[in-house]
Amino acid sequence: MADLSDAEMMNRIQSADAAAFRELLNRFERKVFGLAWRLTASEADARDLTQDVFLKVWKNPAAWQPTAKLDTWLYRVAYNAFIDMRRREKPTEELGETLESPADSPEKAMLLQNEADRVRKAVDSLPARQKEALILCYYQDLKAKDAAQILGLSQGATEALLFRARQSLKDLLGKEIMT
Amino acid sequence: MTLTDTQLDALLNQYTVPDSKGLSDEIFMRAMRERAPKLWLFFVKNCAWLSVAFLIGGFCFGSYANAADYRNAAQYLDTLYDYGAF
Repeated sequence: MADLSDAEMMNRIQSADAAAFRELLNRFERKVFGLAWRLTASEADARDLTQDVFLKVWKNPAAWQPTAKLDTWLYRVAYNAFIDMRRREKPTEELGETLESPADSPEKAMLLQNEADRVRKAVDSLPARQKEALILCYYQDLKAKDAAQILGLSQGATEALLFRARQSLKDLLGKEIMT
Repeated sequence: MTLTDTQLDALLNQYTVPDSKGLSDEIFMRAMRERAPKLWLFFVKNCAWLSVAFLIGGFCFGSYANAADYRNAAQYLDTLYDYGAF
């Protein structure tokens, strides 16, 4: 199943092949969860959003057109679900979950935890569109063109947002290093 | 102080995603549940057919039971006749 192309896998999902759906989850669950987690800044919301995305695909796999890249399409579904969620709900509370820390000693873990927390807060403080452009291009590895499609913007506008986001972060995080 | 691109990239890499803790299995189970036909839906959809099947079954069983009764009654009358009751 792992050697199936995305198109073959989606064809099988259309005929309700459970193994193909499992393969879809293996390939993309982590990426979609990552996007959802960074967008919502809440683990519970990210889990709900990821579930919504994959259940939508399971119920209506024909919505994907093979001309689109599967990961970009999944991100668009996730992004639209996020926009719906944001419309429905009030802004989410501060993130309470601990960030993953790959450090091997408690001191190093604490240092990395603080560092990660600082970066997360800086990213969260960006204007919504800049944050979204940064997450899509930097963390989800999308090209500006694909991110622009998801955000419903031109490529130029997305690149400008990304540039401004990076500039703001350089200033913000640089200032904190100084203090 | 403004950070360089390399410094910023190094910092951004610290912003990692936590483990999704079995989310994949959770989604898979839910998808399979949603696909499985619900029992009540099966009954609603097949209610008419089930009613007809029940009536036909009842009719057949009733006919068989009646036929058996008639056979028993005929045997009883034969016995009475043998004993010279008529």
